[in-house]
Amino acid sequence: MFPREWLDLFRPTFRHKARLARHQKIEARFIKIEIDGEEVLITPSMNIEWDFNNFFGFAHKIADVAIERLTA
Amino acid sequence: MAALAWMRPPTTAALATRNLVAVKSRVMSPRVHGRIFPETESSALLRRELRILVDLRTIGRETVAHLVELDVLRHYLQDLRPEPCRVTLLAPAANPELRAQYEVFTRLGGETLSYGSVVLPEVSNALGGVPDDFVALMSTAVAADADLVVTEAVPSGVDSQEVRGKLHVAFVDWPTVKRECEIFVRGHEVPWSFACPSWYCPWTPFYSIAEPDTTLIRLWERAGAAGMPPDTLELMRSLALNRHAALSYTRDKLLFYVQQERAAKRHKLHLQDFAFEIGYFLNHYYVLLWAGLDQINWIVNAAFNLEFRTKDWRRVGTLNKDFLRRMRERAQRVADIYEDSDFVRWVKMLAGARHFVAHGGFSMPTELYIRSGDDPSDDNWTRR
Repeated sequence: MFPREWLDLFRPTFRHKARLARHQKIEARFIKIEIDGEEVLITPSMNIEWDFNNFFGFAHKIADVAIERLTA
Repeated sequence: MAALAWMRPPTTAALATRNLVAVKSRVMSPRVHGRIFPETESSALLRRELRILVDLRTIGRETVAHLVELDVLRHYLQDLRPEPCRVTLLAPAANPELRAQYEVFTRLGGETLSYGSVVLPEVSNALGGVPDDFVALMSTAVAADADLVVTEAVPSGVDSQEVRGKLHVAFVDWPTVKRECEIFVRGHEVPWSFACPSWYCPWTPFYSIAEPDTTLIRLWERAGAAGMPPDTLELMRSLALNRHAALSYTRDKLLFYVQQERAAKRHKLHLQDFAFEIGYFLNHYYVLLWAGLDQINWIVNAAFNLEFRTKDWRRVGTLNKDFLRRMRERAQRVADIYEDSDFVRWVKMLAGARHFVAHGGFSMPTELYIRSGDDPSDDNWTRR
């Protein structure tokens, strides 16, 4: 139905998909990063609010001590 | 089961295409001005309708205020031309026991489904062992293509993340549903806050008005009153107003695309996974967070007289030993906050992500597969 050169173009994709279909897929999406020289996987979509809260939680703790010092 | 299939639910085929902006209705590829254009199947554009199934048992004297607030948002969206997106409240078909709740619900713009309570085999299988009325509620949500279910009747032992992962529908309480609505409309570029609702608010002042960071603003004000130098005051102002707004906006965009991804999974859209959009904002998010930590470091340097100069910038870092050593000498309480083990763990993770996107590559969340035992080697696959 399709020219042979088209099929050849898509063959690696089909092969890759066929291979993935044999594996168990994990629902979450990951990125690979390095921490202390070791490769680790994190799930960024699940960490969005956690990252935000960690940042501002830290900023507020620092701000509270600084305000205390400035008002003393 | 008390109430089962009062009317027939829509078919799975109907569900697969409903509410998507781009719905494939042709057999052939599109042809315009004599040219055939490629068409990607199993894909769609952004979802522009947020569908919320309301368990009417949650409506009472205390919760009706939430319905009113949601109706205000719906009025605002209808005022915008063209209407950028829509929030639809749904309820299962009328149950005579909940007549008062139906009256309130429909008066405030809620729509009643043509079916009441159904049980879909895929939901029953996914939830397994959960009480029938919860299976029926979630089945109704899936049949109605709902993004969210507002309910308080969650059986003990039911894990919301697990249900979300299996059905791609979230069950939530009233405060959470309002937050999800904010994320949805903000994702469609409509700045809206239930805490501070207003018509036509631009983004520039939005977060400072709607969700102000009062602690950081107080720090800026106190530092001004204490006569801190102008460049330190500018760091504080910019952290409290500009960076807080930029991080809030990026966070909301990311959460919006997670919502979109959930809808895409529910519709089994294999090619539309919103991975690019999530990756794009994620790259920006990590850089914003890391630069925000640098900004805090310079504020600490000024506020606690650590005496690092601009030329010492390499030594002013959240995990830098010189920086932390001097901090311990001059501001022990601040050093304790920097060296808190949970914080250090998070900073190391952020550092890994930020350094990768700033120097190494593009952070694109990807699927993960567990290799089965009989998987041929890479060489064998290539030869096939």
